[in-house]
Amino acid sequence: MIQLFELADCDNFYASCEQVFQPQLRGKPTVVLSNNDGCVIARSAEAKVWGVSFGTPHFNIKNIPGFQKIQMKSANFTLYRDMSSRYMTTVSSHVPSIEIYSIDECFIDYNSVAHAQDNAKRLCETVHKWTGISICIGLGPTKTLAN
Amino acid sequence: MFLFKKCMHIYQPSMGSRLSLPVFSSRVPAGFPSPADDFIDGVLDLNDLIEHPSATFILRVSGNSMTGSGIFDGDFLVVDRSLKARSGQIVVAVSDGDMLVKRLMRQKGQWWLIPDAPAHSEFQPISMGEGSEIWGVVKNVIRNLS
Repeated sequence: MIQLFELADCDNFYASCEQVFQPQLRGKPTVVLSNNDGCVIARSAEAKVWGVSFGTPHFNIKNIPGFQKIQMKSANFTLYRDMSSRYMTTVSSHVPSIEIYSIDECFIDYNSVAHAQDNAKRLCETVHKWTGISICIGLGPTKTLAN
Repeated sequence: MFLFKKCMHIYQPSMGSRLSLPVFSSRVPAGFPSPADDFIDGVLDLNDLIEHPSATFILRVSGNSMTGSGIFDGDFLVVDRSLKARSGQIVVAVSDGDMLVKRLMRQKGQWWLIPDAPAHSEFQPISMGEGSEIWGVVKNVIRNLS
């Protein structure tokens, strides 16, 4: 029997968490800064398009053209931990078993490969509805390939 | 508690602790008193009112646009994101980047967010179009009376 692993990974996790509770940030380039606003540790999809790279120091953001429109948020790790546990609980209540891999990633071990794509799609929708966070799911016969 | 703005507080429900309190089977009369039949009908833990802990958020209300539905400034709302919103329910919605609590209504093929504040006629219904969505369904209101 082929075993099938899924890796469920949140999109731009810290930035997404901020956008769930601050809807005015949606669709805008949003970055989350590390402790004491040192450097960029998360970027929304829009911020990536604007060319903000991971780890950019705070003082260098002003070198990016049109930087005034970039929404900068100080990290709120209490919030991210809570959202992570909501996400993991939501996933685990819909699948046979999960293995937490990082704050925003978990492996899902499906016992059967039947309807794997449909199940994955439904899981993405459920997680988005329940927590407001968008996720991607990779499927593969090993954890590495799923990732 | 996560503080975002001066006026918006969001709390996570803590499900770890248990506190079961007795429930009396007779209703408390708000009108005429009735002969007391104080039978205890089991216990209730308020955590049990939260069906989907991982999808439930507690928000604090600011403003007076829903006083006619019994929602006042400073009240706590228990909001369940996993429920599908239906016409007539009170919801938290996003409109133009703002989070609002309003009653959801479907009228003539269009979804509306209706305020309910007889004393404040300045609040107008908002039609739900592009850029607006339902954030969650309000399940309970918690208010400190004393």
